[in-house]
Amino acid sequence: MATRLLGAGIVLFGALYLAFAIQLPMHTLAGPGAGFFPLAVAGLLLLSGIVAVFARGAQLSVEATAPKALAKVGAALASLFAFCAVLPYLGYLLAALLLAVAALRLFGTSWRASLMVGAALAAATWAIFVPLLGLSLPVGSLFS
Amino acid sequence: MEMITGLAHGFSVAALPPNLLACFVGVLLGSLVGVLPGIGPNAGMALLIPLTFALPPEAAIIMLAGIYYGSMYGGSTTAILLNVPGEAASIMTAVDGYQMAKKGRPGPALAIAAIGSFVAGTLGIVGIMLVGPWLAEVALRFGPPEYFVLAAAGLVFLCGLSPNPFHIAFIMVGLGLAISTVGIDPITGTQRFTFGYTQLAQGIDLVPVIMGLYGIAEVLSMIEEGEQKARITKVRFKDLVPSWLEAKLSVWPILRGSGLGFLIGLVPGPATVVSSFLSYRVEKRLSRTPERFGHGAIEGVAGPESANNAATAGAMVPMFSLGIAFSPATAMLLAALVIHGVQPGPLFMVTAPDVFWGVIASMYIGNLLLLILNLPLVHLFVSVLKLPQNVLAAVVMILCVVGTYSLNNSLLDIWIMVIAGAFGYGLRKLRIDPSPLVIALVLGPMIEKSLRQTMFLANGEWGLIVTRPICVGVVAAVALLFAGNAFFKWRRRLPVGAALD
Repeated sequence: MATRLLGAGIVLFGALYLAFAIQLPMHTLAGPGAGFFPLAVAGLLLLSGIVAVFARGAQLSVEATAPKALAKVGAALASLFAFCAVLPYLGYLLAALLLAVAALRLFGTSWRASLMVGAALAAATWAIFVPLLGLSLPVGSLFS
Repeated sequence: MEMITGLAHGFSVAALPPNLLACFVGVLLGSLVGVLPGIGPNAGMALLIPLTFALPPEAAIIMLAGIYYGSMYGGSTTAILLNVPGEAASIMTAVDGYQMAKKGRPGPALAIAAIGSFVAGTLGIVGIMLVGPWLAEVALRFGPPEYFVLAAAGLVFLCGLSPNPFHIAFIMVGLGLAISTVGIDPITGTQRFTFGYTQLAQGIDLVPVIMGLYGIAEVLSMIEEGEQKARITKVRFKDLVPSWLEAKLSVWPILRGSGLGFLIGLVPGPATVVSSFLSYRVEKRLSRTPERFGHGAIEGVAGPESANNAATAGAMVPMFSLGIAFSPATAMLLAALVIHGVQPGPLFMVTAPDVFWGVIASMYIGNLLLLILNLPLVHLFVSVLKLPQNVLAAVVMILCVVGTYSLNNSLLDIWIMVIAGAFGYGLRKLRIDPSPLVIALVLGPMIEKSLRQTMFLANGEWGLIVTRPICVGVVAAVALLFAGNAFFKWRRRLPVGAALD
């Protein structure tokens, strides 16, 4: 079942990809154009997706996950997406602190320890990347 | 002769204090990455690429290569002491290594694993020096048709070796190729699949995808499993010395593992994993007492541990001489070379001798350092496992984010990494190996370019490929391997009644 669903998803993705690929120029005077290779890839995706939908024999199985654990993973992903969203406003130090605290809390770490470890992590990575390696991290539009 | 002067030059580069330091840091981090279960060489190298930005190219590649082969040492430590393979290439080591530890011989198992790794690593470097320049010379005659056939056949071969069914691995290849087409077309300059986002015009970078698929996905798995405590066996230095019999039994497995590992490293595929599995089976087959395997046979530690180290060396040959990567780890090395403005390929040894010979020489030094680090200091590495999982997860998450951002100062890269992380977690749940996707993403632009150039050269006539002997050879080799594999499967299926095996 999982294989068929995956296959169907790939067929859908392949069709979408194909719809965009055929809008690209296929031929130029100097050989195949920008759309040539994407067209071939779309064909490959559709073909392998269809094979997965109809294949018999060895199938994939989904590893069982407790609903509670799955909710935790969902929360972790949500905090990662939230991090991306707030990073330009809050800046690296604050956003990283929040992300680390979220990750630690998902392990059941106490608020105190989470805040301490999170602050240490954010500060340490900032210290390594900005003054030491000379790279730049977002300061945050709220503070600048 | 050229080789000796090259190597001498290499040592003069590698022995410079900053490069020695880079080598030391690389192998130290590699051992750590190897010890920590889950954080394998792929995620480890991706996490640490930003650390190399400030370094000159040779120091950067020396450090990253150190992480790659260093992780093979570290992986065996936890496999033996805790029955927890630090990475997939140490799974076979855990079988007999842990049994030896349970029988009170963890020290000799660790010592033989380290010595085997050292011998294999050193022999593998000799292999690179012998095969690399030769292959580069051959590759100078390669045109677009050869590169196309080589890369495409490599992908097909990779799918054949995948632990998943062929069509599933092929889906991964398709996705990787599709991702590689995002951005400006390298030949005509047309924008493809950018949907008006100027940032997407540069294409989707390899590093955020690897960090997501391996790093973030690992953190998500850790969060799912929750806190786990490791129980640690103590090993003293004087317990490490193997008995005379153990040493004697290990000599041939180490040598066979080295040769086998190097050869498997040369061909596309998850070389470190495949070679350790194969070496284990070879040793069991050749042994006069195969019943000891699985109950603490030292050969079962010596062979696979040597094989996976030699495989890391073998895998570097196509990377250095052809500029093609067939594993995520060598893809990271390739990406790092390009970031530092060094173009790998047949002319690499001529145009960047400092990097090529410097890295080779540093691998001699690095293997020696690893032997020193891993024998007397083994308990230090094991104590890394005392680092609580929650802190480790937070550290990896933050490093992924900050590393990805600093690559191009791009917020979009972090989004890509998080999406790749969610996707990678899904793949783990389905037990799908993501590496064909990564390799297709790396090889995609090259496959596309060489295919289009080939079609232009051929002017619509497909006969061109048939007139190229190297192309025909590569296609025939892959076809033969598949035919052979199918034949063995078919033969094994023959005794229908006795299919209980």
